[in-house]
Amino acid sequence: MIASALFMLSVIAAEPSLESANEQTRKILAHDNYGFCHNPKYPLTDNEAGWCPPVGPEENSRCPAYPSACDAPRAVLQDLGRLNFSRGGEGKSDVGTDQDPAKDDPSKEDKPGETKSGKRKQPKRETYEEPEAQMPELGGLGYVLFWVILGGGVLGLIIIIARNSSSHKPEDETPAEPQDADPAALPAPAGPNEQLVRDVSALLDQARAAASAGDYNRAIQRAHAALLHRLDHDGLIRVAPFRTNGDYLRDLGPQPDLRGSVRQVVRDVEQVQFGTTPADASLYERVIQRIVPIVTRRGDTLLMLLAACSLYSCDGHKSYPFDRSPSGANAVIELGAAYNLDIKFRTTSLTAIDRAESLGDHDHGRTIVLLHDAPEPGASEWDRLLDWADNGHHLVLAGLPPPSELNLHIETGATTHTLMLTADYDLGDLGDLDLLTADDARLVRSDALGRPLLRFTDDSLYAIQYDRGYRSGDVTVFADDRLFTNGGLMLRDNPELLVRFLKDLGARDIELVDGLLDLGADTPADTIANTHLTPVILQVLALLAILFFWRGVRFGRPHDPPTRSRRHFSEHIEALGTHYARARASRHAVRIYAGWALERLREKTQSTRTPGLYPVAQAIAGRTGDDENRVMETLVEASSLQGDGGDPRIAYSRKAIASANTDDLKLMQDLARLVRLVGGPR
Amino acid sequence: MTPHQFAEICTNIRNQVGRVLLGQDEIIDNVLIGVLARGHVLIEGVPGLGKTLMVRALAKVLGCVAKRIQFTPDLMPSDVTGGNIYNQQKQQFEFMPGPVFTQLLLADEINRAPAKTQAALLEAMADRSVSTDGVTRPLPQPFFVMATQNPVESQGTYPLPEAQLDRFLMKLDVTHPSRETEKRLLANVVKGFDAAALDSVGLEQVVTAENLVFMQNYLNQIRVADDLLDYITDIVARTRSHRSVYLGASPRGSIALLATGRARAAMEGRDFVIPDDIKTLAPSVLRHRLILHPDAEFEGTSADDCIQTVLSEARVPKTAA
Repeated sequence: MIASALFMLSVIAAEPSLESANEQTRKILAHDNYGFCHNPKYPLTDNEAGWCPPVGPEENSRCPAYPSACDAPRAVLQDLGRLNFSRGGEGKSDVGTDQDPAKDDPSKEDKPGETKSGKRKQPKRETYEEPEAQMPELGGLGYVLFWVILGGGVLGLIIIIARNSSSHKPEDETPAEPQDADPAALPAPAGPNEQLVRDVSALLDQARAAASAGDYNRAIQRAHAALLHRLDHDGLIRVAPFRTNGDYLRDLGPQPDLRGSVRQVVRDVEQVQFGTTPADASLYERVIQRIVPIVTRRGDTLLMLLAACSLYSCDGHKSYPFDRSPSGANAVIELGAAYNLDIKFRTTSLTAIDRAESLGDHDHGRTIVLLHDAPEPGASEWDRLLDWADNGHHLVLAGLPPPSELNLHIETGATTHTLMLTADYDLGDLGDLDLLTADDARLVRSDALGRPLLRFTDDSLYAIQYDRGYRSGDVTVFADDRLFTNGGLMLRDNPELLVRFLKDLGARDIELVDGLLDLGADTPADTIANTHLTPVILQVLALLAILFFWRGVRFGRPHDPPTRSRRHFSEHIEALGTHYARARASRHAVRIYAGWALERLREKTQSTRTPGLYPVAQAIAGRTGDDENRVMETLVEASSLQGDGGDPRIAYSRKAIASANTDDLKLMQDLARLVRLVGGPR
Repeated sequence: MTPHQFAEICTNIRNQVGRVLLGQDEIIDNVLIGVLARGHVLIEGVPGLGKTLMVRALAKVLGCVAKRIQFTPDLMPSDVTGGNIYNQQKQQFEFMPGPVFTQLLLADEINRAPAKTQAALLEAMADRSVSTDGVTRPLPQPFFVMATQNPVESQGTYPLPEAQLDRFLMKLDVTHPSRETEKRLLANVVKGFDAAALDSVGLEQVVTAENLVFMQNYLNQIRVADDLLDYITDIVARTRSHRSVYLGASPRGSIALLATGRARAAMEGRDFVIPDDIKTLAPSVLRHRLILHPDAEFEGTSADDCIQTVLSEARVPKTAA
């Protein structure tokens, strides 16, 4: 309890006074992100220009640039689909002439922000700022599984990248032969430092350093290494200790020009390495002059390609986040945060609201503000929302047509923008707050229920509050949502009123509902479009395509397919059989098999001590019911093969070979059948 | 003679032979390497790929005498080397030289003859001389044997013994030409090309036999760096310890690799050997010198597979990697 009280005290102590809300707002809007306050050429939408008459031409202390922005060309709104997020930016001088909606739009004669139908036009969003991602409610096991899978995937990717990056052999590859480990069998390495250097610029630096030191032999070798590693890095060749310059030139076959240049370099280098030509300054100069253009050209091409991709993704003019535009509500959220109000946009559907939701630890409940462009609830949703409010929560309808139950509707026609507190609105001893709104929307009620909070100076109503239930729940209806926008905060005492109103409701948790709610994608294509990541995805696909043409299907360092150190036994048998068949050695095979089968048959019939085949045939026939003579024939044929030492390479005629193969196979099948009938081979 | 002149002559030889033998540039190059390196070449390929034509064309271009022996199971050694025949008029035996007494010898289907007949070629190939009845007779210079064998038919054949295989400098595999090459070949036939009437083609003699011997001697001037000797030794040593190889290449294999490397270097206008010469020629020089373990053969491993493994393990000297 004491700790809780101390916490509350500290919170209260840190919270600025309500009277300073206007000053807080000034600090918030002073940030450059709120371009409409600082950029005289900020492109306002028609709807946002509705603030211009109340602001007037005088300088506004919180938004000094707004009066100038009112005279600037209007924004060009681009229809990008359901969300309509895009707004043309600064510097488009033509937007105010050819594309100014105020000139072409039939509604240009209406009051700013109003259509002929009387319904305010939807404010169009400039850019969309992603709401903070939240984990779905997965449950305990699901949560653990999610992170295990995610972690495993990331770990797997890291392992794959590490494997591809390294040049070691796959684990399942046959281990090196013992003599590989013999250092005497290999030429001595040039030195640990030289072995490890693969950076092209470092190699070129080494070459220049060696040349300046007069060691042209080493200089040429380093320059040559730089060339090879550049080509290797570009995926044109594959550098390996066992590959020769000829291999590299063959790799460059598809690029004859480059191949010709590299061939000239290679000839010069090999003359020094293996010929009798001494390395001198002139030869070094010749080599380096040929290498440098190749080395730099490859990188430049890639860089230019990447730069082109990056430039393509830029639209060339500044964009303005919607939430920091006059139509957005980011300043409202920041202002609320200064006063310990947790204001955020709702991300779950209104249908998920629990009618019997608890009021929380302090019995203050929660507040939901339905803004002008929020999805209009259906009858059942209205019932749910009102029941929710009856349970002690606070529902605010800002510009959204109220439910019929309230006997209230919104219409235009207020003759002024100036608002004043009613006598029924008990916000303490405030004196007169100087309030303004942009539109002329007003509330018209059919009965005397509800408590008016704000009214225009022409006595038309602007805000009415209805008490609900017996737990201090309420529904407050505003004629528009102007006071809940960034634009509304830039004028007069609007910020103070907003803070006092929200604090007066009592709830700390406040959810704003705007047009994004329930605006899910119907198709995967919509999802991609809604994310506004299409340029990024296209760039990634383009990059993948480049990598594909550059490196082939596998982007990593190519490896030989893993080789098995041992084969399956059946594969050996199959290979053996194939080999016999290729050598036409069926007679040899059947002779071996017949010997084995006769042994098994003698064992199984327990005739090992009885000489001759007849007892075996007799026993088999007696046991299996086969014809004794037929069995005897098979055994005699098998036995006769034992003395046949014929050369498998006897030149049979093709017909004789085919016939012999068929007979041999039949004999093997007969013997196998007999072995099986007497109990199998084991 | 300069390396450039040497290469120019070789290019002319290649071009001339290539006029009649389409799409076999690599084989022509390798045969020429064999000739220049004083070696003999065994060509394995099915009939009808122009092996005889190549020898005849090569003989004409090189200014050499060519003969052909069709090896059959009843071929006797004396049918190859020749023998002493009694001359009734002179009342004495006279030596009648066999077809081996030539400069270019095509031993067609050499594995059709029994071992003793094949062995008759051993001395000729190794010592470039023939001994009959105690008399040794030298063969003409240059002497080059190009033997062929058919890889498909094994019935009625006598595989060459390892000792004889080792005497071949290179073993080349000839495959069927590509469709385009075969079409060009047919187009030549349509235009009147007749392989039997080679003179009608107008092949030019590029060198004489004496020039060829001079070129063979010139190869001794081709420099071989010490690193490359290590590289050759390393490759050959690895063939002996390869797990699939029962018997690796002999020192004769190392020498052959060196000689062919020099020939290739000279043909490309260099006076020094580079690792690529050795690596490129290693399969042709070594494949017939390896005897594989039976289990490796059963598994379908070939000598070429083993050589490729060896080449992928042997470190190339002065590599940038």
